[in-house]
Amino acid sequence: MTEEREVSSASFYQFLAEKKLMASRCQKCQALYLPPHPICTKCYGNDMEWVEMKGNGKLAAFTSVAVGPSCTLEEGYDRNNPYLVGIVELDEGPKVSGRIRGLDPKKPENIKIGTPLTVEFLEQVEGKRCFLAFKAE
Amino acid sequence: MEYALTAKMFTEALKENKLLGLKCNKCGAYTVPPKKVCMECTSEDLEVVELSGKGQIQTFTVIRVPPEGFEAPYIVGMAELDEGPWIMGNIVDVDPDEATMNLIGMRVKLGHKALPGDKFSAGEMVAVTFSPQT
Amino acid sequence: MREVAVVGVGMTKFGSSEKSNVELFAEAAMEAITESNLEPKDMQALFLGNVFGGFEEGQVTLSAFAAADIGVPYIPTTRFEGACASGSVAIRDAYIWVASGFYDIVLAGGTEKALAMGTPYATRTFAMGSDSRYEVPTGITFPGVFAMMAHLYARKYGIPLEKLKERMALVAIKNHHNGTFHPKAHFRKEITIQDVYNSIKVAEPLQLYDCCPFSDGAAAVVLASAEKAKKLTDKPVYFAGVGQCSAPPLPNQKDITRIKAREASAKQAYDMAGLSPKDIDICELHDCFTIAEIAATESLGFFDFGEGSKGVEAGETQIGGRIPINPSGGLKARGHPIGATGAAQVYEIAKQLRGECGERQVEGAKVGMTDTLGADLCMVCNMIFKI
Repeated sequence: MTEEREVSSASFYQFLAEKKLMASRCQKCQALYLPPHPICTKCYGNDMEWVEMKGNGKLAAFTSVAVGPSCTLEEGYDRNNPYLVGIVELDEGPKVSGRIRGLDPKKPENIKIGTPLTVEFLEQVEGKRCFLAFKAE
Repeated sequence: MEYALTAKMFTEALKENKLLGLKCNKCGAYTVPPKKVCMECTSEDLEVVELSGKGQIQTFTVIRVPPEGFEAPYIVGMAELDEGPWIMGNIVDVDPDEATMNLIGMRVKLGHKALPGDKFSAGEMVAVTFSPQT
Repeated sequence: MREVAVVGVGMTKFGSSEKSNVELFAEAAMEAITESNLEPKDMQALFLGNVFGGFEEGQVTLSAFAAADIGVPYIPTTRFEGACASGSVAIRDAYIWVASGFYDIVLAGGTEKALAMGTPYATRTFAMGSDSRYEVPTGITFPGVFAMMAHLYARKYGIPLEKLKERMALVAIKNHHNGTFHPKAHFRKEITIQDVYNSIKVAEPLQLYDCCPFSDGAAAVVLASAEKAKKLTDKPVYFAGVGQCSAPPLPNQKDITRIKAREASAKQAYDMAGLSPKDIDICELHDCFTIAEIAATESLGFFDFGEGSKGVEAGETQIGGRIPINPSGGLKARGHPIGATGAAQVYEIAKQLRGECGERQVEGAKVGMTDTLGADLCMVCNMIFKI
């Protein structure tokens, strides 16, 4: 697929709203970047192409957040109802952070590094922006 | 050495329509609003005094595009206090739509206006007000 | 202290951008680095001006992430805040580190996404440049500061307000005209005096067209020691003098038609360069508002106090005039992403001295000056360059 959209964070979020997880790949040295970068920081090339990720990965790190910023209060989370945030290593290589769903935030001791996850596209409360999440089967 | 007159003390007095300042025992200058040291000679030998609250408008503007949380139009001006220093405040008891250059030179007396704080203000906001001395 | 030169400059288009501050600066930085015939790994440090990253996009530590985005995440980076003078104070600081010998090659500049905030919120955050305890409660705004300057100027020099407003409008018209020649300017259209008079009142006597816009954008410069500069480019632009001064809150300054911080800062720069105002061929100065340009030309010594507005009327500050002011279009037309502006001024001076400005070129320019001012007239930075 050839995608002409400018390589920027704004484009990354547009793709998320279209339910696509997109990385940028340097056409010169093949380095992969997620979130996308317009400039390759390995070879300094600026010839990037978009690549769609399959959305599969493994849990690399996580935490259960009991005291979050005010937008999470609006989502219904609080000290008694925490949420999970983590880092996911995608099958293609890059690591990316996101909300983790499908695992019990109240029992972090039962959560295992390496748990297989698939990408989910969450709409924020007012539907203004789509953000990245990963779900355990 | 402690602050002789803190912003909090200044503001509390202003809410009672009292204008406090610092008189320098070394050079005689008045520092208002307060600072840590005399703004003319940097001495810390300062005395808290109540000022006359009278002055003369030096310049002004009518704000028509306000910051978030304020409702325009209103007048902001600077007055030279009889004791010397200049201070900023709202000119009240004057219709903003009738404000002209004739405000410059007007004799005023000070009062205050208290507003609830906003997200950025670290508490309540209290402004000096200038009303025409009649 | 050894000689230092600007070896490369870059800037994004100023205007409205969806890009983040980091992305904007990375773009400007790569342009400057490429122009210097260098690579990111040659940058020993980053000096980045930015005022409201936290409010614009919830981002502090911009300097670290900007370095990461150009592939040098581990260099020392610092964010500079001097209100609208942020970009300049960053560059002046960078100059001192290279002049002292601590670094040989550094990257400096600034970025801002002022448009991201929207007018009421931006008006509130820009008001943070005034004293939060003793001025902000009055509802003072940044245009309000200069509006008070305008009324005082008219009264002090006995110029009827309507006449002063007419001369202020000529500043806006001139700068918009210059902006039509700048490919990266925010506004590239001519305006008329009717446009100025028909625009909404912002803080009387200032109307919308007396005010520079909120803009998004970034600009960057690469500085090198003179020795290294000569090997990198055949047109190094040398620092001749720098100055910087602060001032107390507005009421403490009393007569604000004379900006004391600027008079002192300009004197530092002139003395260091061994020059005087008549030696300056072009000046990019801080026209955040039309009256600000008039007052600045006086404090910088281009006109006697009280004569600046007449000079505009006589055309002395146009490209081709006695002292071209803001050939780039200034903050008014080129735009004002506040953290970036100081660097955009250096971009313009460098290109002018190198003879690369096309239709807005000031013929034969050899010595140029930049001037930025922040907040309650309390941060001013001046730099003089020569080729």
